[in-house]
Amino acid sequence: MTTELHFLTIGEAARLIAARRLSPVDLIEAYLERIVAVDSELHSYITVVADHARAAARMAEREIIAGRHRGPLHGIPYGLKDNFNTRGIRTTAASRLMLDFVPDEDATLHARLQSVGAILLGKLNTWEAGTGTGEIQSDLPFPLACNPWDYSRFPGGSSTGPGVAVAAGTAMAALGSDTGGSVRIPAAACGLVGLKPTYGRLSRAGILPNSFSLDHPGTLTWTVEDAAILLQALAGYDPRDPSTVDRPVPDYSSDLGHGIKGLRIGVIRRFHTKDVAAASTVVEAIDAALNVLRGLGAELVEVDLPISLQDYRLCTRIIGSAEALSVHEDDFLERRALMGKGLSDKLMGGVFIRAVDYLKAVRWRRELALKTDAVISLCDAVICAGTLRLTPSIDDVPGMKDYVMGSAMCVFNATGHPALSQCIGFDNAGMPLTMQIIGNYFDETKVLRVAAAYEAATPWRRRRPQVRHREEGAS
Amino acid sequence: MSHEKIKRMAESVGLVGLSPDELERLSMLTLEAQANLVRLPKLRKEDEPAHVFSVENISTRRRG
Repeated sequence: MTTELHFLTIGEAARLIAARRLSPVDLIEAYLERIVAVDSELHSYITVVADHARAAARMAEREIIAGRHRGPLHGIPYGLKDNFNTRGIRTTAASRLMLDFVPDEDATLHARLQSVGAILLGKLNTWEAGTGTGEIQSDLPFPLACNPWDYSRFPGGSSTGPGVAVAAGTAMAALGSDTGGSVRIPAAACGLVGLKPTYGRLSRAGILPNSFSLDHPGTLTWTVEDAAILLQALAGYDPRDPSTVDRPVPDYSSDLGHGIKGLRIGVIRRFHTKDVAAASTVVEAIDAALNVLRGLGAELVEVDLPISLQDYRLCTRIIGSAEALSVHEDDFLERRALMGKGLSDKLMGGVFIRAVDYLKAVRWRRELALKTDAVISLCDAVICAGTLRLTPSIDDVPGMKDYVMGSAMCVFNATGHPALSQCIGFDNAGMPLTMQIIGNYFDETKVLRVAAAYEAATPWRRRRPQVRHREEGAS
Repeated sequence: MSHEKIKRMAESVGLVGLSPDELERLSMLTLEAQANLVRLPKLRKEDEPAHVFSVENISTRRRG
């Protein structure tokens, strides 16, 4: 276990807090100091709510001392992508159109974390309105967040701040939103666990929509255990979100230590070998990860999909462009001069999509989902590639777009299956590599079980980025 | 499609006051979108959309 409070995991901190060996007040103070020390260069936050966090920490401490411990998230600090509504706290979505927006209600997921005693540190950086293609977005009102593994490299997006914050230790955990990979791509670039649960498992209420039918909230954490703890508090039906499903929420941590011996794990290779020529380092890392899973006793079976990555991308692009324009049409027509190029370009791509074309894409999507599920349902879980390129430089505009748009993340926004991206090592430049673990609908438990087994068998969680301190060298 | 035609089409859906740069981007992105649309597959008449209207969702939401 680390001795630096800002690098504790949720699991570690929760056990210390429950045993009264760690005070939430000390924990929050350590994070606020960390933010002051490193975030002027990292830019993981748009808004820090230090006073709010200190007051909440004092209350958590009082409650715990009084014997009213609310569970593993009591006193745990987290950040929210700045497209989650927070009552009384500015919510900008990194847009000039929303610089003064202060919601009068909380996003459901934020309210759920508050109800179990977690403590909000602040609102995290994002590409405008939680969307974009990965091209440079230097025309936004806030500086772009930097990848803590190498400040000159792309941090992924659109949940940029959540990825940077968890990797750099400016938040213990974070929530983001994922329409085509926007949780899993920054998790990949920053070496984290990024979980996008099944569509309908987490409420979207109070999150600025990007694409109604493709938007999935998700978690960014350092460990798989932390993802399970967060999901436990977040999952469940919400009458404010008609896409959520009223079905029991299982114990997501129950199987984490059960290993994967005998599990039937499918392997989809076509995304990184046939549809896109992935970087050889990525291919080697995936092969090595599969060997680890095989060594742990899983039965690996090669499975194939009759659908190319390009088809999933085409389908989600048409749906995403049309739905995004329906969200932002008034602003686009009347105030687009205030929009960044990334958002306005996405909306322009939807201007001439006819209703009949949109519906055709939505009908095709059902076919894609059925065919994909026919393959996944034969397995306990499935492994496939996540990002297919090495992390590009922030000066490499085509490279960043390729890293995002060429990834295999959008597949599971189209189908709605649970998908988790996990660090599977580092390239020669020291940048994280990733794979995806996919589960059957609403079977996040097995996805987490596979990821936990892999994590426990590999050394990658022992390496942290060297983050620059203000007016200091590296630490 | 010419820029002039795209400009007229844009104006017909309320997208007015396009700058030369915006018109250029809109033209490029429209061409890209058109190329994507022709790649959509043929569907059977009975193929349903992924999300159909659900009365249960509406009634549940009203109760909530």
